Amino acid sequence: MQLVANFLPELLLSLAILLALTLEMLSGKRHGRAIPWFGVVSLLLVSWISVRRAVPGLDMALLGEVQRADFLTVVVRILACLGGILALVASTGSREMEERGKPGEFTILVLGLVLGAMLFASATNLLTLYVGLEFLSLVGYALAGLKVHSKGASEAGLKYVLFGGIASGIMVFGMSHLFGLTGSLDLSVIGQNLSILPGTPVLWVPLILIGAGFAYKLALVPFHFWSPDVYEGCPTVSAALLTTVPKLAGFAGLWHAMMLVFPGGFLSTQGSLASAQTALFLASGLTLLAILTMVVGALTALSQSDARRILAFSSITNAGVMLLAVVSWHDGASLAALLFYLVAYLFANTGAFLALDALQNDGHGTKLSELSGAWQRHPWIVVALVICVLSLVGLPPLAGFLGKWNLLRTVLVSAIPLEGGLLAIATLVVLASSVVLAFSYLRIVRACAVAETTVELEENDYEASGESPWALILCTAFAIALGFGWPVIELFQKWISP
Amino acid sequence: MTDLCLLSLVFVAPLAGALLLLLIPERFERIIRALALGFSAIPMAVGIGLFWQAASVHRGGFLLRDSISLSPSLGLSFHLGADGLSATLLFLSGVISMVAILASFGITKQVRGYFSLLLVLFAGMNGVFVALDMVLFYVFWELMLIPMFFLIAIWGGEQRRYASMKFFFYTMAGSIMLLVVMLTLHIKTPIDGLTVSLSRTAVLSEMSVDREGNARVQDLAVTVLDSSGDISRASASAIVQGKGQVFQVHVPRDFNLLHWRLLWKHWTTQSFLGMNLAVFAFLFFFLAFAVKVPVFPLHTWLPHAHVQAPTAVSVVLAGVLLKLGVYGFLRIAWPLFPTVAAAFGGWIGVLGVIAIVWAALAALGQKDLKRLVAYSSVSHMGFCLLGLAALTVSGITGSMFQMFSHGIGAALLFLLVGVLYDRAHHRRVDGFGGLAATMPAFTAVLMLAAFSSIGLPSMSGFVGELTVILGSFQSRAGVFAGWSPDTFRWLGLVAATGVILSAAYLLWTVQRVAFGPLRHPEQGQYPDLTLREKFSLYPLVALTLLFGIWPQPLLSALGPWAQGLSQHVASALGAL
Repeated sequence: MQLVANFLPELLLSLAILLALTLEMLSGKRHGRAIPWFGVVSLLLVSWISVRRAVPGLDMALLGEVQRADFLTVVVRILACLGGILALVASTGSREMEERGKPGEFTILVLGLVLGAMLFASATNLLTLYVGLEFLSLVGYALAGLKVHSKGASEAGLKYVLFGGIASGIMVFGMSHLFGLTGSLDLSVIGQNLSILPGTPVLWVPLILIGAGFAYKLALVPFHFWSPDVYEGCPTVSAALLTTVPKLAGFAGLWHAMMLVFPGGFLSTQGSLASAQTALFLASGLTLLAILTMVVGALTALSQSDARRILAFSSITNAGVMLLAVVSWHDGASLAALLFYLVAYLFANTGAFLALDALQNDGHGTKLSELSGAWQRHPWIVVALVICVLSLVGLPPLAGFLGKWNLLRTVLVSAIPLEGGLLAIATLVVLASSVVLAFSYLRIVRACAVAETTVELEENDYEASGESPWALILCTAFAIALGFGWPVIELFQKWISP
Repeated sequence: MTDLCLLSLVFVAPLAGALLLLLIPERFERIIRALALGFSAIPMAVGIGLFWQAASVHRGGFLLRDSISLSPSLGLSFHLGADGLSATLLFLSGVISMVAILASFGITKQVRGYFSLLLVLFAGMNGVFVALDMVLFYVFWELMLIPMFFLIAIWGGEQRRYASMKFFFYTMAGSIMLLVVMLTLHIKTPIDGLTVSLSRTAVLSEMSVDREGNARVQDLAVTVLDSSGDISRASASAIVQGKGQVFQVHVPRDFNLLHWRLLWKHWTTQSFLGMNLAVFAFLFFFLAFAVKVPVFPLHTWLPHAHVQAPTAVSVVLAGVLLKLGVYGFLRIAWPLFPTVAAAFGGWIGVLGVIAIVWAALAALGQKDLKRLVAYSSVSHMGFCLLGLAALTVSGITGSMFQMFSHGIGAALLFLLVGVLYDRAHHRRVDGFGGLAATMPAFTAVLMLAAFSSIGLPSMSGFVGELTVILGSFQSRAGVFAGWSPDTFRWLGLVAATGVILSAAYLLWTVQRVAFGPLRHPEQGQYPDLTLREKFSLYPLVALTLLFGIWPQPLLSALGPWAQGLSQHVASALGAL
């Protein structure tokens, strides 16, 4: 019973997907509009059940030890549901989605993405890890190519599929190596066996291959090429979802894997010398990857002329920052920091995309030149956009600042004993890249809020856009409120290590 | 609690005002202006009250101070306080804010947004002056960034895009350095805190007494180590009577600036990224604040920002925002790292003198009035740096005095340029001439502002510059950098030539603008100062004259503070 109770969110969500499919088939064109709301209700239910499961110190193996329900899983479940809800609510008023029609399809895909995120985030076995990843990716491909008649969207979908297919292949190849070396699919057993294996380069091959798979999913440089095109090509609401939920799941999955394989943390001195060598190799590799990601992400964003592409590169840079938190984890505080950063990022990033979508509703694109003068057309949407973007910049007193401040603090805690190690340099890179990135964010702000309009105002431009504003309002409110969210961080810490 | 409420007023009132303004429809311009003026009057009232106290009954230490812990595990606390330095600067910022609001009454473009942003800017700068927690300090520091960016970018001149971006980039880079060093210092404190030994004089100078009659230093319990090795709470009366030699306090790991001040020795024993932590942190703090001052060669954003910004924003920028950099030096960089500050003192003094002379020479060559005043600001702020670097009591007092008098003087000059711009719609120096005949009141104020800026006796500018130069003549701080003890005498001498240069560019400007024949006949029609302009100019004129003739209130508010810092540095150097 306990098992079913802990797996209930996933089970319910599967049921909801089946129901939505049936509803989609049965309902005609007129009633199809209700399906997103059905999705919202079921996600609310699932997140409520997940909240109920969130007891301090929760840690339980599921389905014969291939999944695991712990605090991280619970938080990811809730956040993924939240991301889904925001996207569904926003999609009901989005002109882009309206023109496409078939709101039922979108609902099913969103529910599927959330389910995939949940499965991936709680995987503790190579097999379930792979299945979760594929689940997530397949739904993602469909979400990317949602605008069937648009050339850009088809290109985006295809690019995503091709890159994703190759990355999955590489990852499975690496997993098979790892299985061959350690004789197990279970991550904690792999961890034990690794600790007695000498840290030879033979071992590094599977780690690099699996790392590449993760790096693709998290859009880390140099596996990021698909992401700006995808976020630009797909509907903005999908982009809001695709920049947040898979990232959430990816980091949770990575964290689980790391925690099981290296139970003391990368940088701890416990464990055998051999596993310490492997851990050090992996840690420095991931740190370098994070540095590269932040540098390339921040610098490339400078030359973009589309707001969505700037946000895409910002999400790449952010992924680099979050990767640092994974590398440097040493206690509950680091996990709490990563989770809070993810929460802050989720709201600010979703909010920014939703605001762009709302601005798009009167027929303008998201190119910076087309955004100019948006201030005169929709002042409140621009205010929301500016707040969300400034939160992404990490300016106090917004959520992004508290997140970045707290995350850097925990990274520095583990960097300090290493005396001038790579990690300390990486924290400096975080800050330098956030200055550079701030420049690009500011171009969005300047285009919307400062520049005089270059587009001729038409009558209907002054009308309120049809968007139901609640999703955007919620995101903006949280982007502000979480700036004072230190109780949330403390709560996370208390739950993780009671 | 009452302390906190009163001090919070200085930033809560403008923030509340900013939110309230957003709710008022754009068309009620008069109400918006009146409300903005009203909400900026509240911090000014607090500032005047605090300054009055500091100047009359003050003997050093904090006038008001309190803190509440927000999150012990994260080390966050809401810690506010005002001492002589804060009180003086709050007074300055209150006056300048009111003047800036008055000077903005001519704004007609998006009035509501303009005044809201201006109020948020005030909240940020007032907050910095009362924050005693590093995180809080940083939050207020960053709070100023965005309003300033928008104020330049939306209401600025022709090249506002470039100027606002440059401003943002420089200040953002500076504040990111603050973030790095703040986190590093926090992490470098042991997780359970650190026990620090203090000398008797150090305890006496910062001691307060709790209910049981035991001594406390910065809210921390003081313990005394007696000859048998027992540790007990130190009773305040015993310390005053001279019992006990070695005292200890246990400093927890947090972001409290007053606690950090006790840890100066600890920082010098740590290292970060292969550097001595104290050196690393001092350099980062120095750079972060130097951008704001601005210290040569980080000043290049300032002329652009000034030229493009609307008059009122220039007034705030020169009047208060530049002071924040020096305030950061005084509140954080110098007290936390006294030994490093002394070791780099020679270099910092040189930087100050370069700014004084070089910017004055640059001002001589300017054709735009605002650029000219901007360079004169850089030059005058160099005196603040020189005085600080000299580390003598009169040097530090002079540096703070100069901050105040330059705040008033530069605001005056920018307002006057604004007066001209409103009439002529250009700011070219050679585009004016012979205004004295038709604008006598304007010419009088202009001459007075110029004289104060030059440092003519009986003007506040004179007291500031004289005290700084005096302080650097007295200083032997060159030895700490391994230089000749006469270093600062030479620096003071060169700085004095800056005064001559400033006389050159300011008097020449006044002559070209106000005197001579009327070169542009249409300028004969210009009206003299309007009532609103008089309201914003005359209070500043009064302050300049008041503190020029009677500098005592300022000196008694700032004197104990300077003495405290000088002693702190001296005892730190002695303890090495």
